[in-house]
Amino acid sequence: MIEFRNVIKYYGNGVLALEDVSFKVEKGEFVFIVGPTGMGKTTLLKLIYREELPTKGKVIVGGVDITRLRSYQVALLRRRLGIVFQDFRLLPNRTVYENVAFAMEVLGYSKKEIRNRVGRVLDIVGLLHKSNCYPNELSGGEQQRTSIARALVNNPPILIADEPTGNLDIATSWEIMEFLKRINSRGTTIVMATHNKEIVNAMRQRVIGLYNGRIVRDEYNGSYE
Amino acid sequence: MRVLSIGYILREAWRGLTRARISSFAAIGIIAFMLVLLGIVGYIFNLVNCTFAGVSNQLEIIVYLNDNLKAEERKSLKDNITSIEGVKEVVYIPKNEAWKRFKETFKGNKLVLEIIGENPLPDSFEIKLIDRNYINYVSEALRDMPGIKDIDVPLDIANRLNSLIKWVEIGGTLVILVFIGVSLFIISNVIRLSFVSRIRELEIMQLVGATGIFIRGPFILEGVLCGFFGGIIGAMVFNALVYLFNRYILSSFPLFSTATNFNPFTSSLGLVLFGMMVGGIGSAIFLERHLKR
Ligand SMILES: Nc1ncnc2c1ncn2[C@@H]1O[C@H](COP(=O)(O)OP(=O)(O)OP(=O)(O)O)[C@@H](O)[C@H]1O
Ligand SMILES: [Mg+2]
Repeated sequence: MIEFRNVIKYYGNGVLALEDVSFKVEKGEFVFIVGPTGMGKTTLLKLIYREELPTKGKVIVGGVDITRLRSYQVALLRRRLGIVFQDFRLLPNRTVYENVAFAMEVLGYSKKEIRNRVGRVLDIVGLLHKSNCYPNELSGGEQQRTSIARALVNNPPILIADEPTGNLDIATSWEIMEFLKRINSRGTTIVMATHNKEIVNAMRQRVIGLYNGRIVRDEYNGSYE
Repeated sequence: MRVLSIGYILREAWRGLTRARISSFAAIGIIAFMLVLLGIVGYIFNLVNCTFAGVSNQLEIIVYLNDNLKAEERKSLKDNITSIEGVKEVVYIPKNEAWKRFKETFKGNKLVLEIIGENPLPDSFEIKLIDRNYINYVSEALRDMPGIKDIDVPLDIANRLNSLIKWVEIGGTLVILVFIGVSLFIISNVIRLSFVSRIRELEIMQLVGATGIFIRGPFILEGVLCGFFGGIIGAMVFNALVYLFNRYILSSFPLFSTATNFNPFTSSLGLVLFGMMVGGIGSAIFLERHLKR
């Protein structure tokens, strides 16, 4: 489903964020990307949804080398991905409801269908009562949950989540993780970057460890350390 | 794209226009201002052009007749001339009339009149043409007609006017083209003011998988709407200026007041359409330059 082949990523300022990274994620897998801050987790995820291009190497998603896509193909790629951003990336001038609905409008769903599904997914993340709030009226955790709802609303075959529990308390984090486990068992491939030791240890899933831009371990049934 | 998208694009464009109110007003104002200037440039160009064309179409060929021409010979000559293609009117000027006009012209100059003394002028025809381009053809046709002593063709003036008109046309077109380029540049920069804060928003939309039309559509339509409102304001101001100009200034320069083909309706329509086009293209240029990939 997702494959990195000898990927090297230099940023414009000369920072080497990823160094010769290769791995493969099969359909239906649940993969944690772990590692200390600044080690390249977000960069790795950005390469998957093509916010960044690799300096060298190949990134293959769904059998397609995504380093050579036209802009409309990039849009098509992103429509098949649900993305939870580390910095949320909510549209500031739209309410919680509108932010989540936007991801469905892009796909051309009918108003009625949008209403149904957005309502359901906001209920799952526990934000139904904040539907009409704007992002600047929300706490960090609420913004994060809005971002999660938007990523999930289209039932994407692949979910990319960058520290989706970073701003949540333990109870809410677990609720979200339970939900992710459920959609994973229904076949959604999940790649999730996290610092959360308890969650990684309890989930017993595949763990890829990054250190200074290199993969230092890749264990199935892994733990945080 | 589904039908839904059109409603979406309209809604989003309107939302953008009304949300960033101050910068929308700025964009509309600048567009209106540029359009008024463009209108004025076009108007002056048209005025000058029409004036030259009017002057040159008034050029006449004068034919001097043999002294002892009989009345019926004169009559048939006049008919022959009238039947030449491109001749609008033939007017008979008897020698007395010509002499009267001559004395009128040199009224202040006693010396000239004294030197000349007796009326030396022959009878003549003044030939008016349909338009200046017939001047060569008609003078060619006159050459072999009997009863004609001499032909006075204002070829020199005609040629000079022709080249003058050509240069005015080229110059005017050039000025207008440059002007259009400059206004596109300025307008795309004004639109930038209103859009730049929203570029991040567009990038987020892209990350969620929105495609070209979805992202660009509302922005381009917003530019078109700015151009539309700017065009309406600009056209109103322009027409008011033209009215005042015609009423208070043009009327004191009789040289210019020869019929111009200015039409307030088509020129307003042109300004509005041009404003919409420039607004749309301005937005598109902006997006092309600032939107990633
Ligand atoms: N846009 C950018 N331009 C330049 N350098 C960048 C950019 N984004 C990240 N970096 C650098 O690349 C390195 C890896 O950053 P990245 O965001 O991938 O780390 P991370 O593992 O996600 O960290 P964290 O756990 O804090 O989110 C860091 O040194 C960072 O400073
Ligand atoms: Mg990160």
